[in-house]
Amino acid sequence: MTRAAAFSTILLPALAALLGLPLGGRLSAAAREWAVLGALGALLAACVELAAVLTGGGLVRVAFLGGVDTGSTVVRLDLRADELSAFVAVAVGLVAFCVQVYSTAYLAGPGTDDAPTRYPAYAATVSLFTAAMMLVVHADDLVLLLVGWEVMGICSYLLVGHHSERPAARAAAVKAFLVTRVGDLGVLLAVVVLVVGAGTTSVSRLAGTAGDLPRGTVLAAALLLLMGAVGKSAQFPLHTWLPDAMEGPTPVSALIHAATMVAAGVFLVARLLPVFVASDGALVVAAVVASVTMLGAALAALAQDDLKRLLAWSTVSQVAYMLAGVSVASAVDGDDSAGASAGVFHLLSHAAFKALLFLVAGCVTHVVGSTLLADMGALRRTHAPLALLLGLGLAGLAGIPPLGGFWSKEAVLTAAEHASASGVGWPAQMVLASGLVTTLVTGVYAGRAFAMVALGGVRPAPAGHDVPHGPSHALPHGLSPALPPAMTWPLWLLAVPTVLLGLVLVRPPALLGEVHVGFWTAFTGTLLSLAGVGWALTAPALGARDIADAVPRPVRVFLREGYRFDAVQDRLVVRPVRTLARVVAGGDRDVVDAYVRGTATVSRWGGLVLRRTQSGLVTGYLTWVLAGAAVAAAVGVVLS
Amino acid sequence: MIHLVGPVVLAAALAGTGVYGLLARRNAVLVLVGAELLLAAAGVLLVTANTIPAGGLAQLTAAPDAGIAPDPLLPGQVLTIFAITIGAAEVGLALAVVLLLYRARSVSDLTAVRELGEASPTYSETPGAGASS
Repeated sequence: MTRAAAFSTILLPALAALLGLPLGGRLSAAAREWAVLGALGALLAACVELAAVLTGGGLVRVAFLGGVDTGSTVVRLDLRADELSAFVAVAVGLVAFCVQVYSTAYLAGPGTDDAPTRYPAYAATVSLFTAAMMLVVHADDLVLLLVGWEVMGICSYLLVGHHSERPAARAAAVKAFLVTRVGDLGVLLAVVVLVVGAGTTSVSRLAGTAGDLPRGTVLAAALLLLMGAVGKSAQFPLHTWLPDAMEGPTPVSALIHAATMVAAGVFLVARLLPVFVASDGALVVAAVVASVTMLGAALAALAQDDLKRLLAWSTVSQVAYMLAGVSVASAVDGDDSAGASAGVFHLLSHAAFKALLFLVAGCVTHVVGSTLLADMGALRRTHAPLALLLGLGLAGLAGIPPLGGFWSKEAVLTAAEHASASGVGWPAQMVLASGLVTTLVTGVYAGRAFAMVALGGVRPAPAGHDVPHGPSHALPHGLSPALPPAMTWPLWLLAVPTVLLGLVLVRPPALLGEVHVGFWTAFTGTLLSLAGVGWALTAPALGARDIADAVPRPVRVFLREGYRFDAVQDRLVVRPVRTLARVVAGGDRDVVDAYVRGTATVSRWGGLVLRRTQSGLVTGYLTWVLAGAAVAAAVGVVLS
Repeated sequence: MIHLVGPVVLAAALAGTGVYGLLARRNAVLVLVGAELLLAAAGVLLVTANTIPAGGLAQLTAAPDAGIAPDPLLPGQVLTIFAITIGAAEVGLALAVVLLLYRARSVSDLTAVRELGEASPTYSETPGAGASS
């Protein structure tokens, strides 16, 4: 039962991707059904798997593709189906299903010239993306996990650059691919280190033996794995691809941010927690990365002018919370893993509210025809249900009780607080301090987004902007287009876990059994986030439409551009690499190729000389032959 | 037993005549005859060399009473038969070429057909294209 369900979660979306692509060319309607059916199948299989795991216990090792004898070690390509797999699989399935249903309406029609829909290819890529994430979630071996990990990389490249007519989309896709690739190298090297140092890449075996391995091996493996997680999860300093990835269609952003890709990095750390717990150094690095990213990304989100980029920076910040939770894991009372549980719990609640927020943002874009915050307003009056959903999502983001986001965020903060109280020292204290400040900033930017999108007066329709997708872009300006049902009911579906996820803690499963929410920590966090939200919400009443105007203008520009980190990256990485590429290309052209071209030149000159001897006179040729024979005979006589 | 000088002089005469035929004659058939004469000279030398014992001519003067033990496989004779066979085939092919040349051009003078040489004054990429019309 569990076994079949685990297989189905991976194979059904993969099958949908396979079937959707060839069929889509001839009957484009079938592509829709296949993609939605594949995602629905994955969701149902994940639910069955979760139920089976919760009642019957997880399977540590499910034979999947057999073993690969590499000579030095046997790589067993097995799956596992435990609570971590099942919970994350349900989240992935739910988000993927909602995204597929939503996309049928969002990407309806042929699209515009600079953004054609290409629905069959899109849906197949999303299905493949889902299958790859399911493989990552269920893999019991790092090699198998790496396969899914890499497939996700290429899918994100394809989807971010889906509108490849736009140069910005192409640049963003290449950036996302290259930056995450830097992290992927870490995972690849970690596999090598583990094969050499530990003799196995099996997750279940590593969990047992991580403590007995040499310290150097564990530390190297953990740091390399962390590098992979940092790249995939868009943490500092590999975070720059995520805000640019907003060039992709909005449902893709929901998928990447909520369920696949970004969550995979944190999942990797949670999955290989024993390796990380065995090496304190890696956890300290993780704590520093998470603290820096958390606060920095939240401040950058505060200054954004674009709703989607605001949400992107908020994802970076929230994923840092998850990483922070995992990074204080070793701290709590020896082998207690409260932090990791809290991190995974935050991953689940984040999947719900971030998918909801992105899909709502897509609806708002559909209605307004622009993604700029300045063009939005008065959603509460024009589309009250949408405003309610936006409010729920933002409240979850800010951590307002009793939403799911509140419980998970406070769980992370409580774990950090326990860790700092139980003598872990400065990393946990840093995480706690950064987390609390970030809570305030998160409240401010969530409130700001709500104030600018839902409150205020109706904005005039922006000139020169057209609704980028959908059938309604022919409507005259000023008339709010109605939203198709396929774009609204997935939102309500996602709103359920956004609001009610906290109920899981009433009877927590073993995975989340360690999650505690300390009263005073929660009280402080709630006060901070409420203060932030309230501050931002009252700003319009006090005359300032945008609370970010309170920030001095140069600082705001600095924050909006992500601390000009792109410029630093350009100076430190891009330009040296380009220079190196030019040098190598020049060496190839001027040194290596010179020899090859030299042979051609020599042959040509030789030909010009030798053709003088072609007199056409047979007697002349015979003279040469006889002369040659005479020379050969003379040489023979002299040498003998 | 004859002296070695006779066959060697015969071979030299044949080779000299052959070289003369190759270099000085213009008729294709006579040039071919020269080539055959060269081949015959080589055959005569080979047969002659078969009588020389292993170790060279010095063996004869060093131990004149030891008697001559020729190679039982007779390599000189065998190689000559071999060369004659190949020569026969070569003559057949060469005469066919000469015959075709004569049919096409009504000449057998080799200096009259120089069109294929790139450095010749009558060089042409398509020899015969103008002649047939």
